[in-house]
Amino acid sequence: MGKLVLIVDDSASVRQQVGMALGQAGFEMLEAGDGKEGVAAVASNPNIAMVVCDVNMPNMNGLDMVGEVKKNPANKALPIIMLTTEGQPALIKKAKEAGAVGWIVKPFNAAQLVATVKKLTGG
Amino acid sequence: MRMGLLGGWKKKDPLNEEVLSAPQDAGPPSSNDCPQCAARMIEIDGKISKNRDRIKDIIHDVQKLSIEEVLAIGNCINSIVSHTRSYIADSKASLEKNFAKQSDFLETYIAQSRETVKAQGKTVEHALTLSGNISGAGEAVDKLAREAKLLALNATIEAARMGSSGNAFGVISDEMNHLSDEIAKANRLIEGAIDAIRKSLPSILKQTTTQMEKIEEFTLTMKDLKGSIEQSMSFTGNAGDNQLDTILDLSYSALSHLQFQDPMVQELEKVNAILLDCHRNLSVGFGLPFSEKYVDVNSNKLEIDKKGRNGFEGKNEPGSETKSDADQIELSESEQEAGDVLLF
Repeated sequence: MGKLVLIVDDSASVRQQVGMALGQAGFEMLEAGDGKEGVAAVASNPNIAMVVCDVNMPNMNGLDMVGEVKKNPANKALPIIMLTTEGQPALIKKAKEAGAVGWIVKPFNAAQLVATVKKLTGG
Repeated sequence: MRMGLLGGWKKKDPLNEEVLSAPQDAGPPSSNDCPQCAARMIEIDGKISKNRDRIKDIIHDVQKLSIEEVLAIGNCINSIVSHTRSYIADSKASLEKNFAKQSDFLETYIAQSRETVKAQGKTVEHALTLSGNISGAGEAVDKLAREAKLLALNATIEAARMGSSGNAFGVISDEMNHLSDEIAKANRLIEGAIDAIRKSLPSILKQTTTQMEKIEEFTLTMKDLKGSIEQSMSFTGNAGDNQLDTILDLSYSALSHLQFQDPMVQELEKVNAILLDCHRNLSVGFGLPFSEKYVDVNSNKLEIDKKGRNGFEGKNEPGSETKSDADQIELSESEQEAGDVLLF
């Protein structure tokens, strides 16, 4: 059974694309449609090995979600990467400060995403 | 292990025939023992590196081209699907809204028509009852007219018996007789009219009933039609969604196929890996400079540049430490573009 990756994005298409890329690489997928759902998913699934998270989402944006998740000391080591159309250095800095470990700009390259996820989850 | 690879190297290299001419069973000569051999090995190694660079460029171009194209197509399909989905959803919502409005209007109209027809039926029944009552009254009037006529006849007889003194009374009795005739005549006319009305009322009632039946029939048809349209709208929406899902699936499959299963790239990667091994073994065997400049042509930002005189990964010249790939990535101050990967 592959490692569990949580995909947080309000776009079902993007979730599907990410899911397909990671699924082919042997990862298990869990999906959330916004930051709130993402926080709840992390809280209820201790097996999550990594989170791939969008920035602009309804209810709770990705940066706030990272902050919320990282408030829990148990999630300090949980790698979170942002997958977004945004590329502004200020936002990237905020993500880094919030506790994200990476930033990928959409449209993403599936092989790159898989390589990054593999690297951060240790395989 | 790595030396073993050199010794076991028997596969023909179509890209560099000179590599093939290298003695396969000979042990690795030292550059100190044979300067000419070393020069030759350096030359061969240079050609291997050159071919590796060419293959690297080809792989990079092929992958970059296909991935960029597929990504562009994928984005385009995604955009079309997204817009179509949105259009279908909007059209469906608009259709449902308009249909609900028209349906409500028709239902109200049918209900009002039903009430009107019911009221008409009651009016006709009431008219029938009234015409019956009027007929009864006509009989009473007839009876009065007959009694008045009898009275007038008696008065005429009495006036005749009185002789000339009864002449004036005879005139009155004549007038009474005439009046009773006129009343009887008027009563006949009323009876005729009432009879005509009574005869026409059942026909009107029948028409009203038929109208009512048709309204009920129309109501049922409307209900069926409403159900059919709602179902059709649902099917249309679902079918559209399914079609779009199929389009998306196909585009994902195409993307996946090109990104993960491009046989040309895979073959080139294999050839390049073989050349890399060859280069590494030559470096180890003859003390040549070894450089593994890239690991994955996809990972633009994850390039690993490991340089060492002794060849093996992680075994570098004293004093020169190899940085990890994550260390190679620095947080850029410029805006990131599509496909960029940053690891903090």
